[in-house]
Amino acid sequence: MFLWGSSPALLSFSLTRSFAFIYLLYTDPGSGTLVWQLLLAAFFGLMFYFRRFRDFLSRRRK
Amino acid sequence: MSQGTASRRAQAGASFRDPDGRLLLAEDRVLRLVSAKGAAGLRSFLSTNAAREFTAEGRLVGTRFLGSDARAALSRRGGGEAFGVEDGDGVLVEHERVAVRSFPYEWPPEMLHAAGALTLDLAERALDEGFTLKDATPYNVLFRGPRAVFVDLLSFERRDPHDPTWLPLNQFTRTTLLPLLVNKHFGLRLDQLLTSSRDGLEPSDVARMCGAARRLRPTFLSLVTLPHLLGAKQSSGGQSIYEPKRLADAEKAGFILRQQFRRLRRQLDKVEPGEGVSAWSSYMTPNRFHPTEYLRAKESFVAKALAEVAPRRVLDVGCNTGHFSALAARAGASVVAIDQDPAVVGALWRRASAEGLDVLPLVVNLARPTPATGWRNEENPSFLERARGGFDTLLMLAVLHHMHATEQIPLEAVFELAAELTSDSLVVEFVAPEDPLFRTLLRGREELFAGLTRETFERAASRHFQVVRAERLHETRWLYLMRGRGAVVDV
Repeated sequence: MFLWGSSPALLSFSLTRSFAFIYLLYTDPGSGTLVWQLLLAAFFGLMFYFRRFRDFLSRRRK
Repeated sequence: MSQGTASRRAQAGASFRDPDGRLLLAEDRVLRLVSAKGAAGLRSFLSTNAAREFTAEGRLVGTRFLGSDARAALSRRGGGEAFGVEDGDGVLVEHERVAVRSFPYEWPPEMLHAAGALTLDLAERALDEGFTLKDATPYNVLFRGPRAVFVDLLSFERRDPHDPTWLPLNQFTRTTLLPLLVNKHFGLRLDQLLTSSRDGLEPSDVARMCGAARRLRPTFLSLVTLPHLLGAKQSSGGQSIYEPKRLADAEKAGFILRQQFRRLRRQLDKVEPGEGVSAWSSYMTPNRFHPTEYLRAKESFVAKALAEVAPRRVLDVGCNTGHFSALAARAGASVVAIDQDPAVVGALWRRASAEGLDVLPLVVNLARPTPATGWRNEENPSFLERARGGFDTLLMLAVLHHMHATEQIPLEAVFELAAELTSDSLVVEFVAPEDPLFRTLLRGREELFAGLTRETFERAASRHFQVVRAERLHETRWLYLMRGRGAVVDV
């Protein structure tokens, strides 16, 4: 049998400027783990810009 | 069983938690009734290269859509109402059947690790195709022999390309990473942990086990300490962190997600179990209790019995490191091998994986088999319910005296259970109470087993089995090939 563990689904609604998404939070995202994930995401975001800048410099040298 | 129970059983044990579909077991078929929305997403995912590759490799369960006539046929057979397929929308899908279901609390740490690795492989690959996994529980995985196969295809959904988060990360951490971490560092058994805690461990649970120095170690800092501290701070905060996060730059969102997966993979590597060692790990090594001649005679007897019976499905009870499970697998059988010791079961899994043996090793003590668990005790059937009638040969080698002496289960009861588990034959070892190892189990209680002789042993078996032949392996040990009284016997 194919099972998955989950807490009851939570419905979350978000509007952006151009369209709407309905997010079905199927699993419990946790609190501390989610915050930690978001902090790491911010760090990885900086990494992304750093690599873009590094690639830009490489292309310029060529 | 009442009609209500029967209909619940037909769709029981699985997918009431998923709003997009539910699983149905119809005889030997595994069907899923999927909502229209779920079906569209499933079709979309199955058409991706990722799905094709993983299915071809046997790592994703084969799936096909059934026509509307299949649903009608199911209804006509009278099962429709039980399955809930008579009314409403929905598309019927059939999955390839995985022969033997097992659950994370029956796996040694090696198998939980393998399930986690497969989950991450799929999550990363699906990302390339614009999909994501919406949950990451090890219950999404079953095993074909030693090979992990992902079975819950409704876990895949189209991803918002601007979303940099993977919400199931918490579930993956709780149900895979943290149990492996505490198993590796504190020796906590997964079978005990996961039977009682279906959703795994919280970081705060593990933080309580750690001293200050351990909390600062890199693996613990990332998996336990920081989430625990941040969670404590967050508990007094608002709900804004649960609002969806979207970035304007989809490439950046994808990059962040890939880095998260790389980080999870490194963490999974760090909690990979080492080769466990226990008191049972060298049981099959020749010693003064098990001289080489005894082991050779035993192997010869079992090999001959397997050739004679030619089983398709074997259950090896008390498999230890799986020497005889491997023998049965090489003889062409699909083997389920159970033992109560996770170290030996883990060793057997490694061996089966390395040698490509069709052996599914599980941590199960037949004297106290895994119970039915979950909602109404119907989500996850007990081991016995899954095993009953599922095998044509049962191996009980040097295990019966453990059940009888340590667990004090009467011989007649053991043979009665054996008869439920095998439809044909039994290879069973009789160990006399004078045996030195048996005496170590008795610890001065020899008088309790004074009446245990070969005659009483055979008499206990005779109600359900007929002895085909017996061979003395050793002064105090005999091996028997028996056939079930309902089986066709060629003597």
